[in-house]
Amino acid sequence: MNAYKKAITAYEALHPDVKIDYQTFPYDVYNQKLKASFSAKKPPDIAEMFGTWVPEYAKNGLLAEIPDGDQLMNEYYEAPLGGYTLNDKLYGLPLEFNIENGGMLIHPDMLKAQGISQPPSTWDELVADAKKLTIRDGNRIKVKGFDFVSGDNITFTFLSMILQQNGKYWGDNNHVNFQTPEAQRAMTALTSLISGDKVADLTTFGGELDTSDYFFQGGSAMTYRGPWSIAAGLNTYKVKDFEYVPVPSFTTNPPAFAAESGWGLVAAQKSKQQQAAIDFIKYLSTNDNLLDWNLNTFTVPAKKEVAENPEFVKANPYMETSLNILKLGQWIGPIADRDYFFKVINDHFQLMTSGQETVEAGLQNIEKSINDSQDQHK
Amino acid sequence: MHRRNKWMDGSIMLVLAVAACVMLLPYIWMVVSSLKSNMEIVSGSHTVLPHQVSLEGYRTVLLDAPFGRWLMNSAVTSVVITAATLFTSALAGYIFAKHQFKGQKLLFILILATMMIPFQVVMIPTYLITAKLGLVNHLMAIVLPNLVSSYGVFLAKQFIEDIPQDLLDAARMDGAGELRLMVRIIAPLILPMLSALGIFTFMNSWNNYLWPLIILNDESKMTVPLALVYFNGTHMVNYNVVMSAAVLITLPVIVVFLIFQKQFIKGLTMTGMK
Amino acid sequence: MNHGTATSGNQAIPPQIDMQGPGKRGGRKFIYLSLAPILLLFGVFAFLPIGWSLGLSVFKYNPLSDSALFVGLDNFIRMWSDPIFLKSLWVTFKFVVIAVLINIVITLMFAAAIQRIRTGWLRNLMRTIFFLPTIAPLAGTAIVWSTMFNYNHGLFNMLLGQLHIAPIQWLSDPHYALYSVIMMTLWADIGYNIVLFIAGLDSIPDMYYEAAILDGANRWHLFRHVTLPLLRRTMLFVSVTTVVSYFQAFAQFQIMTKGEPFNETRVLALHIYEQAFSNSNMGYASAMATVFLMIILVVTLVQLKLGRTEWEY
Repeated sequence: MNAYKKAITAYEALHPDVKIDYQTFPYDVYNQKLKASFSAKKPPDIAEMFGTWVPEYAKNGLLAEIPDGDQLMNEYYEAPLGGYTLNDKLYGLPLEFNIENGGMLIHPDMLKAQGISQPPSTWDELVADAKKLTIRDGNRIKVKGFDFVSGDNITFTFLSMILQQNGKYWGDNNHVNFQTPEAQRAMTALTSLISGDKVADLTTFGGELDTSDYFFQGGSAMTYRGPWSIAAGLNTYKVKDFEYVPVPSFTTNPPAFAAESGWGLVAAQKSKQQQAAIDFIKYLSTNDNLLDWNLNTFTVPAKKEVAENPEFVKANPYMETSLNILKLGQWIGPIADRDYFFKVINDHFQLMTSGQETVEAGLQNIEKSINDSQDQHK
Repeated sequence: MHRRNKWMDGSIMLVLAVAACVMLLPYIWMVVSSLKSNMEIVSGSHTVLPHQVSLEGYRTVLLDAPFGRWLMNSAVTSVVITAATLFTSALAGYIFAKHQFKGQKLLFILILATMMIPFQVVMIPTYLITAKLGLVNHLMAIVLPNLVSSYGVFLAKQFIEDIPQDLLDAARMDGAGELRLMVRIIAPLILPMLSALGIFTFMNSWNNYLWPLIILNDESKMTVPLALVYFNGTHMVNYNVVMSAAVLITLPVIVVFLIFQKQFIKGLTMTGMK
Repeated sequence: MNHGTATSGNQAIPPQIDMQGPGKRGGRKFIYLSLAPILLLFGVFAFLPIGWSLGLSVFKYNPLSDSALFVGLDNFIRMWSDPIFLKSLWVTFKFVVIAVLINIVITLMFAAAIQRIRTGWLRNLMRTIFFLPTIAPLAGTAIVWSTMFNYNHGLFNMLLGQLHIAPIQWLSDPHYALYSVIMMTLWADIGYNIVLFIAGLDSIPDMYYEAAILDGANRWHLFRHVTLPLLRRTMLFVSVTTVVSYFQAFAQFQIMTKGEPFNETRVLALHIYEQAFSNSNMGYASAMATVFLMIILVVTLVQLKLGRTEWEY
């Protein structure tokens, strides 16, 4: 938040004729508010949007095109740009790389206590270590060996495991395809972590705390979560007894993954100050300003030069794991209804792990529900 | 009455006392949680009472947000809404009860029907209308749609119907105009109902949450219930701050209620008996 | 209806006839002048949005796009093969039936118990305590309760822990979630009905009881054959208002469960809201809202009808 205020003050100093009124809203209502203001034709000049929301606005001609799209597109990684691109035109610039894959929080002390000196380097090692690290109390799990059961990570882990087998999950016509052997293998491996290996459970799923909160409270030894969670540990819990290390690939291929386009800035087509709005977005997107912004907000850079800048990793060494794999990321794809997509996978994941549904049937149902929703939004 | 059974009375009293304690439990929990530090809450301490009383939550609510301003906004809008609702309800109720005109019945049924519709259903059209009127991000947007109340009109009509016609005719004979009649004769007769409606309206607009959330943007224009979500970030949970906000919002309503409790309960039971 | 009820003195009648001419004309002006602004407000902020919303139900409409596609009754047809809609219809009825029944039984019990208290201040204190939650903001109440339901450090699991009972996933176990919300809802609003029932009980004259006791009635008979029939008016009012308000219950679901787990707590009000706002299916949401409105109307009318016919006896 202060990162924006800082940039605004600097910009206003450079452009005395421009005054930027900055408003913030709680996340829970922001999406609704944006929709309401755009549909009432009273949009803000500049808005921060989550990349996944952008296509709906761009499709309806509500956002201003950013000039020099072709050149800009080369300067950013593919995944954060996907949502901001429509028909090869650019409708906003991402500020961050929203990455939930490739890295996990670990408690080195817990690993050492089980005689594990190194973080796992293969998937099999990961599973074996997780089993050792799980501490039980009767039927309950006291410390989870490897926790990935969060609203985001079930889906992201599943998709990345498909990609790491060189599989695909998009079919024709914006439909998903989960009936592939790769999807089967991925989901089987994922559900068996809960139902067979029992290295995590569903008890904390859907609660108001995040999996990273439970990690920092000592409830798990390894937790799959995006690098943003590091900030929570450092600032909220004020702890240093953890590391952020790579999650091994499911196969021998590199750890490819799918990512949503994260937060970025868009300018409204209806804005009376469209030029100034775009100018501010470009100003904030210069290398120096983005470096500042990403460091201040503890986010992963979406722009290649910023991510590759040695200054960045020096100032934020915890990010190294994530920075190393950014180029392996691809855009998650044209999901029409993000919340629904994740919810369907999460719901069926729970049914599959508790044995109320086979993996095969679960994947079929997921595919059908998601494709119905995709069709509804055409 | 008849043979009162001591043993039975005692056990009923005991059950009531236990139930009363259960009813108070969430309040105690709210206050106690608001006094914990965020650190203590997130670190997963498993005790009811705070290890160390911390006013961190209250400090955040009062200092990191213009809470005083919000209180003012809430107070002003709630008072205006309450006063206007009482007036319009009594007026419309009087007309529906004691006058005849074309389409009266249909109109009254239409007004009643609006009570059945959950607000969420009409929120988008209401937003679009408010935007057309240029009221987005204005406190007027909170006030204007709430100046009339279908429930108020309904209650007022029911009560005014019971006022004998002779009384009104006698006053008219003395040359009283309709407005005067309403203020001088009718209002005093339905005062208990009006005070119930007044308190009811005040509390509803004080507690209103969804509509201000959608329609207000500026920090300086918000009303107090928004404090409940104001401090919630994407990935952050600040129980103690939220709990402190809850305490600070609930406190004024409880005070208002305790002051007017008698009238409220009386009015409520009267309206309830209708 | 009441016009002639009072035993009006004869002298009032002749002037009344005289007054009718001018009084009526003055009355017309008064009616139009004072009703116009009130109706304008109702029109703009109640009738128009409702009409708008109902009108949208035959369109496919995304609030972000300029055009709406007319689809006729498609939205209504789609509903009956939409498993989530059907599920939420079922959940809504389940919630309303269970919550209203429990509500009426316990509020009647508590009201009867409080009414028995002879000490004035104690009686008032009890009434105040039970009533207090109804005035707190529901959004705040819902947040407070969701922390009490928390698995790891919520109040309820702490209490269970003291009793050496395994903790419960109050809000995320499909078997418990709806009941947890019902529990919170009851806490938040049994006060209203308790107060109403106390007043209803107060209004029953003692002589009915005395007569029945002389006939040798026991407690149960007293309750069944004296209290309940004489409470019918209150009962009708309480059940109609409670049913309508429970159909509309929203904040507690939105804040505490968001319809989860597995849509077990996805009541219609929440589903409509999410379809409209999160999923941008305004037309479909409006169609569901129309059906929802019909359901509430029919249920209310049936209740009124039942209440009335019973009354005749």
